[in-house]
Amino acid sequence: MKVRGTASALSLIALSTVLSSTAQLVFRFVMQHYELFSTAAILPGLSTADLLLLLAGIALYAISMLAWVFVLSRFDVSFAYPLMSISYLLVFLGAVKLPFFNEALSSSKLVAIVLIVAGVAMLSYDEKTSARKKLDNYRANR
Amino acid sequence: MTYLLLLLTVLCIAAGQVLQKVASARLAGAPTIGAAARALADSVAFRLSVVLMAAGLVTWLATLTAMEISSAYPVLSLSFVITALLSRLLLQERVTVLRWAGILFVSAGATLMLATS
Repeated sequence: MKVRGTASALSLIALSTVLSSTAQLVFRFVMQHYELFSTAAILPGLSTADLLLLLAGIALYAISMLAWVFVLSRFDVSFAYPLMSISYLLVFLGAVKLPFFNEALSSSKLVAIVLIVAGVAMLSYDEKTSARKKLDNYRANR
Repeated sequence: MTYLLLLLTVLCIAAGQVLQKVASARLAGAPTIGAAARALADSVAFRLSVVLMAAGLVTWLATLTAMEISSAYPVLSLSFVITALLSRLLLQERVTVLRWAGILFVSAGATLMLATS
């Protein structure tokens, strides 16, 4: 199964990234209200509302994985993974800027994220098919 | 304890990825989506990867009770490092100089994150 068109494939990457980041923020939104070893943190102890939220988060995550499979059918991993690692930045910004998280912004956290995003790009790079070349190939064969 | 749960999550993700790669060999030549799904359901590697993904979700949710997600989530990128090392050890995949550099960058970033949170 191939996704047609570079623009639609790029928007699938964006969709997948935003959905998985949202899912992670939903997970934290629910779990931040529980203590690690309290009985409430064991799944049956979750309130119905929290359980539904977690299931919604898992559903969002599943949809993002599905979108991701279609992305991989169209783009090389060396192009797609570095873009997906933008979700580290999205989750960070959400946790720092959104009112219900109140997590602290610090320069060392930002430096750590930049190192990680750069590292993921290096790990996914494939010298046989550079991202640029791959994108050009797809455009030519569309 | 929280860091232990976080690292367990990383290991579950990485081992799950390697098992899925092993299971994907069964898909070669499957004529239909149905046949591919049956081949996966029969694969021990695939079943084990599903168990590990579920276990990873539980340890991840437990981690999030005690750790800010702005610090914890980027550390999950260590799974790329472990996956690269496991692929080299178990699947005899090549790790290029650039990938070693990537391993160094991700490890440095994750260590900095854990050290300052």
